[in-house]
Amino acid sequence: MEVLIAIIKLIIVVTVLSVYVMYATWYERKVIGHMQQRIGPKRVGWHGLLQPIADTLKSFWKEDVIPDKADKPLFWLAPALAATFPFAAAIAIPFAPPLHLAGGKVFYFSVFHSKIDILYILGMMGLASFGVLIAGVASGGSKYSFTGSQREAAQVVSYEAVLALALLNPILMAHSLNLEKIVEAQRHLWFVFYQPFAFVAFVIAMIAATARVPFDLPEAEPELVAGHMTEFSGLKMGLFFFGQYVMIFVVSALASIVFLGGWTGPVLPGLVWYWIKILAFIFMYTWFWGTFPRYRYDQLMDIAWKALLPLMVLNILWTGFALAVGLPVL
Amino acid sequence: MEGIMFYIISIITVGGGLGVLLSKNPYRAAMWMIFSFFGIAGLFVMLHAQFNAMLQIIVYAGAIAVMIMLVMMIMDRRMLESLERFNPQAYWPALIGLALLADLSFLAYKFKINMSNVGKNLTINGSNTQMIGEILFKHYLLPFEVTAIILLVALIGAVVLTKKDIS
Repeated sequence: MEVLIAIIKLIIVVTVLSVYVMYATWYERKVIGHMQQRIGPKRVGWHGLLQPIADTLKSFWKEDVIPDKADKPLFWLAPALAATFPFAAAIAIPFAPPLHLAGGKVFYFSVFHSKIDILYILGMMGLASFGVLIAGVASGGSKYSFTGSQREAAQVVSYEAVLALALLNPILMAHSLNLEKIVEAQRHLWFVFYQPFAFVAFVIAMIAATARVPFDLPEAEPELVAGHMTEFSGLKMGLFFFGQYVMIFVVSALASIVFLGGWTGPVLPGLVWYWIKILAFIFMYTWFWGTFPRYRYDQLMDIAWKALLPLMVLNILWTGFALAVGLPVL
Repeated sequence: MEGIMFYIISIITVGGGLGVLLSKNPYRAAMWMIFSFFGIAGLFVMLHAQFNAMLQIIVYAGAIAVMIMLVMMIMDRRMLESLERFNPQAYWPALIGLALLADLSFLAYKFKINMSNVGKNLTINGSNTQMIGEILFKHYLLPFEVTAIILLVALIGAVVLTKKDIS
């Protein structure tokens, strides 16, 4: 029975996220259009609402070009991994507050629930970069792809560390790796008020970990054509986008659970609060895209290793000290 | 059920290890290594050590394997392709490996391993994050800190030894 429920949940989550990815592209084009005084997609359907479906159909019928010198098995593996691991991370994200049924049972709105949710999500996020890494290697010596992957590797190694260290502060305060427990610990006041520095570091690191503007160096269009995706076409390239958008959803949900109190909030019901927070983070991504210029590669590394990492270590020391002597942490 | 799971996971682990040895392309070898790490994480999960399993994935598959890929990407492509897979002294390690295999199979034969217990968690019932933390930081704090300092010394040593001033 449990297995059946898990399979049904899995199918629903994958379907919902696929539709979400399609409409995330529409939403992003629309918002960025209005930010740049354009109107964005308008022709296909009402306000361009059918545009994502048209785009998806188009990518199915595109010719699948594989370079002669490509490493064939890895060339197939790369987009598959790039799309699989973000979905694997997303199955641990709750889509709604847990339901307390009669008889002490709890129904979780995530496919996979364990005591170590955060570690699982972090692990899958770390692995998600392998799709991009292999893409560069498999492209048969294409310099653009290779440079893109190289950048992704360096970026992931630096910012995963910052991400984990920033998450450590709320974990220390909640005494748990369980997402429900962390939300429970924020009943009275959200952790963002206790841990403003950790929150800022987490937001910076989550943008870098998903490789979006202003840290989208692996696919910097003016320098690298399309970075790691240069040699991929049609559905294969679509899978990379899939992975990226699902990843954006995962980190947004993680940020709103860990720092903004998940489904706690005044007046409105929990579900509404939760989705307002997630959608706000997704809007923030688009907003940054329309606002910031891209950082240079050495600046990116400097931010991670010379600013964020030492600051986060100090922050953890302070949090630990304050918790040990019973101060309110700030 | 546990037995079947155990066999699947061990095939993943050992198969990944064989893949590392047998693939000529170093990048493919790295991918096989990650496959093998997944198997090891699975073994940890079967022992109810979820924390260790996730650390295995985060630290080894997520960080160290990415590091290895990064180093291979930065290395000169021609140098990477001209690397020999075996050096002339490859016989001795092979002999040691054979001896180890013989030793293990002898032990397995002598102690008559009960195959019906395959995949069952016979030692501890449930290990959790808090327990690991308590043991590490209450009972073994000094060794833990010493290990950390040794690692730091190795790190700084590597930087000092390989640093060249770029003129």
